[in-house]
Formats: sequence, C-alpha cells, structure tokens
Amino acid sequence: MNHAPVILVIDDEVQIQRALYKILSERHYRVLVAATGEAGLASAAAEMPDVIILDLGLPDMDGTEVCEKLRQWTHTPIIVLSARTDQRQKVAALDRGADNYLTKPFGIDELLAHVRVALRHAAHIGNAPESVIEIGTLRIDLSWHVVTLGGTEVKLTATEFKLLAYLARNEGRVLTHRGILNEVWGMEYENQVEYLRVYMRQLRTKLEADPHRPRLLLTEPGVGYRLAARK
Amino acid sequence: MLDMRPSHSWQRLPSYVLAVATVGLVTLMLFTALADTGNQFKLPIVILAYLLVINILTLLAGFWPGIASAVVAFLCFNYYFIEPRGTLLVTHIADVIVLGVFFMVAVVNSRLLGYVQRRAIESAQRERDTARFYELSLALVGSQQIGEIAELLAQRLHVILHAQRIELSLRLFADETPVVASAGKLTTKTAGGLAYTVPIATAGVTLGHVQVWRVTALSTGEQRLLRTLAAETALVLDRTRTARTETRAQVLEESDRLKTALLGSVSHELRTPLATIRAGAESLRRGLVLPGSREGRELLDDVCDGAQRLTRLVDNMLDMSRIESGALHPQREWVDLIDIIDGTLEHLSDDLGRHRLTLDVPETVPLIPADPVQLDQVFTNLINNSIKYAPTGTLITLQVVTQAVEKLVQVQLSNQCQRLSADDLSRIFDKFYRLTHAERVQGAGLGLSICKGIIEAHGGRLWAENWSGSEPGLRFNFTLPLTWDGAEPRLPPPEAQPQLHRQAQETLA
Repeated sequence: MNHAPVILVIDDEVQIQRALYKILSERHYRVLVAATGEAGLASAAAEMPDVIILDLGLPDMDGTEVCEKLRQWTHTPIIVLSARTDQRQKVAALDRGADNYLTKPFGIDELLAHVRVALRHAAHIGNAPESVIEIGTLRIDLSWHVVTLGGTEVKLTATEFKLLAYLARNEGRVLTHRGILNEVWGMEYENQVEYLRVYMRQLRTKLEADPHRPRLLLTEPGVGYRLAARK
Repeated sequence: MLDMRPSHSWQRLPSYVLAVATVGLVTLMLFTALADTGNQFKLPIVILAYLLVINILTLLAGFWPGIASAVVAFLCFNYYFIEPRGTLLVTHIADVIVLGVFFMVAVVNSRLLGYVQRRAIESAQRERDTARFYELSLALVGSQQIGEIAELLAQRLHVILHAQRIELSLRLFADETPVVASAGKLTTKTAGGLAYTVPIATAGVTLGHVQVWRVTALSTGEQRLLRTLAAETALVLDRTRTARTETRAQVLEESDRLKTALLGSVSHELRTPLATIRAGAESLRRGLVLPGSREGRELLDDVCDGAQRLTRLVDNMLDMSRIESGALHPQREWVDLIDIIDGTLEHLSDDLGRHRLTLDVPETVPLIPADPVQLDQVFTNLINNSIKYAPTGTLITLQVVTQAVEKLVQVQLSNQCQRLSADDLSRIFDKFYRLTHAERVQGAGLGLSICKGIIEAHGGRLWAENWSGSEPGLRFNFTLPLTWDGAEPRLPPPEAQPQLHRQAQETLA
C-alpha cells in the first residue's frame, strides 16, 4: 500500500469521534469522520475508505441498515461498535456483512488489532483466494484438503474440514453461528447451534495445544466463532 | 326451593284428580262391603275409613288436595251413608252433628298434617341452603384474589338461589376500577323478573354490591342468607384490603431503605475511582508528573484501573435495574458449559494469581440452554467474590455435576473464606448487602444479587452454604436445567473418521 490507509468512522458521539481520530491518526492512518448514517454512506462512496468503523446507534438510521447498504456495492471491511447489551443488534450487523465488532468501552490495543486485521482483509479484496493459510504452526491447504500441525498431518472428518476451511478463509473475522451453520451444514440447519458446539469441541481437541485455552479457535460468546488472525 | 313457591292450581291438577278418584273408590268399596252391616257399626267404620284416606292423601298430595278430598268425602258420606240415602238431605239432628264433626275433624287433620309436612320440607331446604352457604363462605375465606372472589360468588349464588342472573361488582379501594362478575342470562321473557340489590359494605365503606334477578320473590330466609353472605364478603375484602395496605407500606419502606443503601454504596464506589482518575489526569496535565516516567506510568495505570472499576459498576447497576424491571431476558442457545468456564477463567487469569484453583469439570457435561454472556457474568461474579473474600493462597474449587434424573446441572464453587452466620447466608444475595466483617473489600454489593437474578431467569436456583470438609469455607451452588422447554439438544449424527492422506498414499504404494 503506497498511500496511508483511510479509515472512515461513522459515529455521532463527539467524544468517540475525537478519541478514535487521535488514536488512529497517531498510527498514521488517514481518518474521516461522519456523524450520521447518510453522511457515512456518502463519504464511503466518495472516498473509498480501506476500513469502516460503524457505530450501531446512529441518530438517523439503524447501523445494521448501513451495513446492508454498504454491502450492496463494497467489500470494505466493517468494524461495528456496539453497547454491551446489544447482542442481537451485533449479530444482525455481522449477518449483514460486518466483519468484526468492538464492545464499548473498548481498549486501544483491541481497537488497533481489529483495524490491522481489517486492513489485511482489505488488501486481499479482489485477489484470488489463497489456497494455503498458515497461522502459527497450523497449515491449511484448502485445495488439497490437508491440515498439518507442526508438520504432522491432522486427520479431520469432511465436516470438520469444511468448518475449519470456512473459518480460515475468514481468518480474524467474527462469523455468526447462523452464518457458519448456513455455510457448512446448509440453510435448514442454520439454528442447529448444537452441531456447531460439538464440532468446535472436536476441532479444538485435534488442533489446540490445550483445548481449554484455545489460541486458534476462539469463541465469541453469544455471537459466533473466529479463527485467530495471523500475527 | 321449588316446593316453597306458591304453585299455580293447574300444576296440581293431577293431585286433585287423585284425591277425588281415591275418595270415590273408597266410597264404592265401603258401599259394597258394608251393604249388610247395621247402621250403628257402619257409620264409625265409614268415618274412620274416610279420615284415614283423607290423612294419607294430605300427606301424599299436600294440604289443598287433602281439603278437596275432605269435601268430596263429606258429600259422599252424606249421599251414600246418611239417611235418607241417595240425597244430600239430612233429617236427623244426630246425623247433622256426625257430619259436622266429621267435616271439621277432616279439615283440621288436613291442616295439621299439611303444616307439619311443609315445615319438614322447609327445614330440609334450609339445612341444604345453610350447608351451601357455609361451603361458599369457607371458599370465600380461602380466597385472596378479588377477581376470584367475585367469580366464585356469582357462580355459586346463581346455583343456590336458582336465579336468572347474578351480577357482582367488587373493589378494594375507592380509587380502583371495580371487578365485575356475572352468572346466568336474562332472557327477554324473564327480563322483567324481580331484582334485588344488596350492598357489600364494611364499617361504612361500600366495597361493591350484588344484584339478583329471579322470576319469583326471594323468601325472607333467602334474603337473610344473601345479606349474611354480603356481610361476610365485605369482611373478606376488608381483610384483603388490610393485607394489601400493609404490603404497600412495606414496599415503600423497603424501597426507601434501598435508596439509602444505594446512595451510600454507590457514592462510595463512584467517588474512589473518580478521585483516582481525576488526580492522575490533573497531575499529568499540569506537568507535575511526566507521562514517560515510572511515576507517570503508575499514575496512568491507576487511571485505567479506575475507569475499569467504573465500567464494572455502571454495568452492574444497569444489569440490576434490568433484573428488577424484569427486562433481563436470557438469550438462550445451546452452550458448552466447559467453553464458558474456560472463557471466564481466561479473562480472570490475572486476578486468580493469588489463589489456587482446582477444576472438577467432566468432559462429558452435556450442552445446556443458556445465555453465554450472562452465564459468564455469573461465573465471573462468583469467582471474583471468592477472590475478594477468601484469604490469599487458599483453594478455590469449581465443580460441575450432572444430575441426569432431575435433568439438571449443578455447579459448586467452594472457597476457604470465613464461615457466615445464618443471617449473612440468607441475606448475602440481597442487593447492596455487604458482609459486616469485610469493610476493606471494595464493591457495591451487586454482584451476587445479579447472579441470583440471572440464574433464576434461567429457571435455576442459586444458594450459599457453609461447608466443612478438608478445607472448610463457603460454597456457592447453582443449578441450571439441562432441557429447553422439555427438549434436549439435537446432536449431529456421527461421522466416519477419515484415513490420513499420507497413510492412504503409503497403502497405495
């Protein structure tokens, strides 16, 4: 990337705008601010930002609606900001194409980590999908259906592989239960969270050094799962 | 009740026919049987036979058919047995006396018997009514809900009084909308029936009224019972009213006490971190301390900690108000309890450093229907509580037991903190309640009551107990249902484990 990455912040609270502006511009990102959903959509179309940070509680329209409208024409990663209790809204935004979420109040490290992951995604948009994904000692060969851990092959069932592959292709992104079930098992299973619980446990047993302290397959309570991003 | 009403004569027609026919039959029998008997024997037999028949008819058919039979018997007696026979003429003065006495005896007998019988019927009726009213008043005394009382009264009165319709209107306080109940329908034919209105009042306060529609008038006995019942209802309502007033007063007193506790607790809990943040921020702004120095970094850590503490407090208070307003609806989904516990322990790992933690969670714990975020909060609050109150270096044990029969999972969190008194044990989950011996420990006293609210919203139970074992202390227990509206999780069908690629290639080679 030759130019400084552009980050669009859509949030109506002045304090949050100011804090995000300060934190992000210090890391040499170019920051654009919009206070309403309308202004945000206009700015996104005009400036083509690399990452969008979107607050779900906007004065003029529902944040999930903004997500939906953005996704009609752009794949730009969206990080959603939400209050702690808006679990449903958060899930709705992720289902409508948001990549990740941050719960207010959030820490700076957390914010920057999310922005970095989003930028990496942004860089890959339009490229041919990778056929090999490596995270730490885990290596997933998507075209050959081979998974190795520290060089040793791990045997996965067809469904386990499908699940891992979907998480890997969206590495670092929060995937909702419904989204995963839809992708891996099919539409008619989209409420079968039990399936997901059982398979995540199996995958962790096979892939995590300590299944009780997962470092790869991370749970987002009440929302979904996420495969840890590469460093 | 039907027998008590004056009946129309046409309804009794069969009784009169029976009376006349019986007397005729007896006359025929007497006439043929006594054809050859002398007059001095014949008359007493005839008189006695007639009196017997009249008495029996009075008993069977009632007073008026009895009188009718007496008149017919008198005429037959005169016609067939008194000289000159075949006429209603009486020639002898003695016969006049005999006939006169016979008629009087017959009528008096009928009257007496009729009276006795009516009394018997009435008293049986009264007994039945009293029994029903007694049952009703017993039921009333057992009722607490005003709607229930009104419904019960309307239904029962409708049956007991054979009324066309009963309407009731009751209320406890003058400012309340009355509760209305009714039973039965007014058909157009009976719409003009009699209506009685009895007030339901106690000590000068009218709490409602009852209205009765019936085709026929209520007897004095029925009216008396109705009034008694109205008085009794008024007493029951009065009692409910008193109880309600007391509850209102208690609620007010309780909320007042809570407000004081809230202010005391929250102002302290808010002030401490606010003071830290302010002091830190101001000294950095004025340049008293340099941000890059060791002192500056410590100050910034304090500021961050203070902000963290404020966040927790605000979250807790929001949760508490949500629990109290009934707005805390768990977003249930099938969750892996182990995953939740792992997550909680992960984000508490820094705070757990000063205690030893033992886990006894079998890998076979089934999936449970729960809100993972709220459940994490329960574990976090309970463990935090143990960290705060149990001495450094002591053991904290987390145990999960599946109770397959009861379809429950039970979680036990044991620590080695000081034993609690029975009073503390029962009040430990009250909001803003803080242990008296724990002055130095920070917190608003909300964590445990939030846990209780969450667990109960999930259909579970949370309690604390002192436990004495190898490491005695305090133990928190909570249960959660293993089923979701009676349903168990639908697990995926088993899948074949594949061969390894490399092995497969080797086999081929």
